[in-house]
Amino acid sequence: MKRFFQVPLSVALLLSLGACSADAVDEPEPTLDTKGAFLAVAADAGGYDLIRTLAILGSGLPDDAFFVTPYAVNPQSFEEARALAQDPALPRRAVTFIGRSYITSRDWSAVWFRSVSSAEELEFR
Amino acid sequence: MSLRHCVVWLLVMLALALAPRANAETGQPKGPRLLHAPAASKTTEQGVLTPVPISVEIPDDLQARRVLLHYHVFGAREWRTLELRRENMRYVGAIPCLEVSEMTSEIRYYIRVHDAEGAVIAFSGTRSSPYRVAIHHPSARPDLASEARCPDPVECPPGLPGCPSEEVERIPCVRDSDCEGGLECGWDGYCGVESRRKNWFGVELAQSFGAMAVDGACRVSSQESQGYACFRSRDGAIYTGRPVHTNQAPVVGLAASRVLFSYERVLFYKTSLGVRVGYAFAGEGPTLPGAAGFVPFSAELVARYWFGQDPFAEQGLRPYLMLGAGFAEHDIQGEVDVREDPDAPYSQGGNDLEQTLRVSKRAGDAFVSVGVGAVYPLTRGFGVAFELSLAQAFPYAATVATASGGLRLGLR
Repeated sequence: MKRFFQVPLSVALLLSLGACSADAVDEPEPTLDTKGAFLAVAADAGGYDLIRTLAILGSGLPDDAFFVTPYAVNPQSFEEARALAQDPALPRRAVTFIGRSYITSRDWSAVWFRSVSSAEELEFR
Repeated sequence: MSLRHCVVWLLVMLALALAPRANAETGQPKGPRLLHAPAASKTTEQGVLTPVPISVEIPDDLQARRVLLHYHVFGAREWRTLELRRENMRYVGAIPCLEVSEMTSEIRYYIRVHDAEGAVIAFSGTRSSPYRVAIHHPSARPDLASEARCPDPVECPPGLPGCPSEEVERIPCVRDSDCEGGLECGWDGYCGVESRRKNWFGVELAQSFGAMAVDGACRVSSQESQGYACFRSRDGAIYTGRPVHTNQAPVVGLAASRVLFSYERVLFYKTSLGVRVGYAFAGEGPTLPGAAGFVPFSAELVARYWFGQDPFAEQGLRPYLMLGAGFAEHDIQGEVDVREDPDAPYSQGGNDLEQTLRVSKRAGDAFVSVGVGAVYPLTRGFGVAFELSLAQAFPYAATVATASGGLRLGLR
C-alpha cells in the first residue's frame, strides 16, 4: 500500500514544490584539521591505525598537537577503516596527543566524521 | 339549491384574518391567500349524471398562472385534479359528468391557484375542509332531475371548451407545502412520491499516507518553524546537527488513522454537500519540547458530484467525485538520511558523517482535497462507502492521500 501511493504522491509533491533536483550539491568531506574526523594513519607494524581527532592545538604548523582517541583496531585499508569508524561501540584506547608531522609524514586519510560531544572534550581537559 | 342553475361563484376576496401579511419589500404574500367564498356555496346539491360546473374569479393582483380543481368522488381512493380554463377574468371548468355517477353520493372539491413557478399562492377550500356537492337520484329528488346526459368523450374530448376539463396528472409546486396527500415537491417542480433519501449519515475509518519534502527538513530552523521534528535512530535524541543540503526526494510515510462521522444533504439530483468530523486515534507523531501539541480532531466541508441519471432514486453503485476543504493535522512519519557538514560549527556531539534520522512533520492545519469514491447501497437507505482522496495541507505543506471506508445510512 505504501508503495502504491509513493509514485503519485511524489509526483504531486514535486510539481507543487517546483523543486529543481538538478541543483549541484556540495558535500564537504572531513579533513586533517576537522575536529571529530576519523583518520586512518599507516602503522609501523603494517595496516593502519584508526584515530579520531578531539582537538587541535596550533594553527596549521608541523608541530601542532592533535589530541586524539586511538581505537583498538588495525584495518588494512581505508575502506575497512571507514567501515569500522561507523561503529559507535568500537573499542577505544586512552586519549593521547600526536604531532601533525607524525600524520603527514605517513600515508593517511580522513575516512569518517563524528561530531565531538562535550563529554568527549572533557576527556582531554 | 340546484347547482345546475347556481354556478358556484367563488367570489375572490383577500383573506382577512387568516391570510398572511404581504412581504413589505416585494409586496408578495408570504404564503397562500385564502379565497373567500360565501358559506352557502360550501355545500350544494345536484342530480346524477350531470357535470359539476366550477367558476372562479381571481383578483387582478394575484399573479395566477394555473388554477387547479382537486376533487374526490365517493368511493375513489385518490383525489383527482383538473385544470380550469381561463375565460376573461374567470377560470372555469367542470367535474366531468361521467364522474357524477348514477349513485347517490357526495363529491368534494377545493381549488388552488398556482403562480408561474408552480407555488400555491391562493386557495379556496382545503382537503380537510372541502366544498361538498351532494348527488341525488331523481327518485329521491325529482326537482334535481335533468334530461341532459353526459356527452360522449369521443365527441367532446377533455379540455375543449364546453367539454370536461382536462385532467392534470402532475401538480406543479415549489415547496413541499404546495403538495398534499403525503406527496413532496420534487426537484422537477411537480408533486410526487419522493423516493430519494436526502439525508445521509456516515461513519468511516480512514488511513492517511503523506508525502513531505525532506530536503533540509532536519535543520534546526526547519524544526523550529516548518513543523518538522528529527530524531537520531541510534539513541532517540533530538537532532540539532548541521546537515548538508542534499536534494533528497520526498519521503512517503504513514499519517493519522481516523474515525470519521459525516452528515450529507443531497441538494439536487447529482450534487450533495456535507460535513465530516473526525478523530485521530492513531498516528500522532512526536512533539518537540515547547511546540504545540497534536490536535486529533478534524473537520471538513465536502461537496460531491454523483454520476448517474438520478443516482439517489436508482439502485446500484453510486460513484462520485469529491471536493473538500477543512481543518486537520497530519503527522507524517518516515526516515531521512542526512549528511553532516564537518566544516560547520556544531553544538551537538555524536552525529556521524552520514546517518538515518526519524523525521516527522506536522502538516496542516488547513487543507483542500479532491477525491473519488462510491457508495454501494445494500438497501435503499443503507450502504457501504469507499473513498480515495488527495489533500494538500497548508501552511505547513504536505500532500496527504487517504483511503477510507465505512457505512452510510440514508434518511428522508
